[in-house]
Amino acid sequence: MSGWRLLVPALLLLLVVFVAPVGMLVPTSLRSYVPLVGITGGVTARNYVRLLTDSYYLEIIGRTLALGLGVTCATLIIGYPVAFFLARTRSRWRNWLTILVVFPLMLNLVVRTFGWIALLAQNGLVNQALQALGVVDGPVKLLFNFAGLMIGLTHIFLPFMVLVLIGAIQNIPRDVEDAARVLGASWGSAFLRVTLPLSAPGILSGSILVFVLTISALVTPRLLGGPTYQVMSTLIYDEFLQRLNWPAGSAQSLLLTAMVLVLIYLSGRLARRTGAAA
Amino acid sequence: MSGAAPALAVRRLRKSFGTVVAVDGVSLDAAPGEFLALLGPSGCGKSTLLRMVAGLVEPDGGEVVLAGEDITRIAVHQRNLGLVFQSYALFPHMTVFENVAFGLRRRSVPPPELGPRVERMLELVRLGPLGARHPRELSGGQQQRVALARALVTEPRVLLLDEPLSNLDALLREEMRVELKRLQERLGTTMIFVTHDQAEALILSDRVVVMEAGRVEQIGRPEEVYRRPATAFVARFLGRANFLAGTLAEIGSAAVVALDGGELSVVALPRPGLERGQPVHAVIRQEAIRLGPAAEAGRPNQFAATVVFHAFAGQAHHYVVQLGDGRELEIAAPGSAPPLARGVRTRVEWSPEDVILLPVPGTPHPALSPEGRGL
Repeated sequence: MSGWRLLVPALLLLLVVFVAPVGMLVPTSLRSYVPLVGITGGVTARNYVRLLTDSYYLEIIGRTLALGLGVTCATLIIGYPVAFFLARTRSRWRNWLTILVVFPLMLNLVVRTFGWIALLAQNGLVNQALQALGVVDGPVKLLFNFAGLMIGLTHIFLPFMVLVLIGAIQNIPRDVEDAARVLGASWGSAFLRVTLPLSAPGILSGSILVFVLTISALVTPRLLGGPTYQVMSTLIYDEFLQRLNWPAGSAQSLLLTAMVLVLIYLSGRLARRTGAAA
Repeated sequence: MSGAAPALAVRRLRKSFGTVVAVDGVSLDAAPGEFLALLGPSGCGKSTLLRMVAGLVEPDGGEVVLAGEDITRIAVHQRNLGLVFQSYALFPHMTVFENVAFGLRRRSVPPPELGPRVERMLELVRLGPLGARHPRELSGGQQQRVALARALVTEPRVLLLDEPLSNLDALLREEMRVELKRLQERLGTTMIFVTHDQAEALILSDRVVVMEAGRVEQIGRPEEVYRRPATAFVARFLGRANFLAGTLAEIGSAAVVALDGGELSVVALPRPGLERGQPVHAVIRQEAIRLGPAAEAGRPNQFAATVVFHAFAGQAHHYVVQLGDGRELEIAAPGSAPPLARGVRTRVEWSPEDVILLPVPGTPHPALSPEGRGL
């Protein structure tokens, strides 16, 4: 019982900085906003109805989820081999390589994002290289669209995925893989049947982390997406600070929060299911 | 080895890690159905040797020959060997049944045959009803048996065991020793067993390979390596013994060692290859020394002694006695004998055939030539 008391500071902090502000959004989200007048009295579900029926909002919600899924898959596919190498190598360069993976995290986010703008622009380095190599005829649009956001966010969140996966892969005993090999499994078969299933907890937590970070990222989508290519976080930002429509912004914030909570709940259940088997 | 072709032969196998030589030109044979123990202290290269045979470590040189076929360059998963790990290395995400079935599935054994084979193997290691459990729901001994079943179900040509019993507590370890030995006799599988536990090696194996610093010190039957150790290392590693330094004063029908200090001499059976005047160690096992008044006076190796230490250890009394010239001997007397108190003056005696004569390192000795190592 006394163990629970250790949680008190963290629970209090959570109450003050998360539960209370989110709770305060609930009444606001049920008001309506009249331009030039402001927030009016009365309770209405209008904000939610519009958010879930208007094709403009639905497209942004869908785009946000697709981006989350896309960035998660991309960081997983790029990050797993890197993490596997770093977890298993006995090279003396290992620590330096790990630092190299984490290094982007030490640079300012805005600086990194402007770097990507310079690279991805119409006459940026990437387009120049592609045209010089004859891969494409004209410049490819890589900014202010899905591709640009995918590239930028994948780069930014890759270190998180790699770090989580390194821990998970290091926890798999080498003997277990060796046992599979001695029992007649080729390298690929041993990987698919033993290593990969045993790194599932790491894949799950890395994926949740990257997904949640992606759908709530603001700076990168704003800079790489421009003022018109919106995701949920930039929409909420504009709603509150540009259009001053706090009720609509509150409804959108609550929807984003609900999406994250549902995801965490589902992944928790999945982890228990696979955890029961692992 | 003569007779049948060896089930497994290792020829001049070498492996270094950086500047450390782990295995230094080891050669040995295992006859079909033989239980061979690789015995040595940790770091002597025995595990590396086993992993090279399994294919998990690539040798720098030498050959691994399985039933006449050179498998040195064959991939791990194509060798059809069994390997039991010290950590058991069970697949934690699979049931006991699936763990055991893993090797059969890799060999595409059809389901109607696979089920019964797994069940039979689980019966054999007395895990019949536990097939649906996961490894973490089993005790250490049960996990060990799953590891054995998993390695044996594919009917490997040779089963390799890397310290399989050292993670078990003492009682269970002795139980598993018996079980392992009976399993081996029943299946007739050739087994190569790595251990640092000399008692385990002596009890289980048909032959013991004693290793030190990447080299083979001696290969022989358990009685051989225990009673006639080829080197001081083997004598020290297998059981406790008293080392008495001296010079070979006489060699003929009996060998007489004049002990350093000049007062006492020890009579031993002659051993070929030793010369008069050569510095030697007369090695006497603790349990070979009889303590108490002499039954028959006038026999060799009888000395007056004073008890300076006594401790009771169940099956044995441990004594330290002091001889007339001040040197001390360690003695293990049967636990059933009445104890002698500290300070008691008595006699010690041992027979010449219990004296092991070893040349002092640095002097030539037949045991250091390849024939003497039993290769």
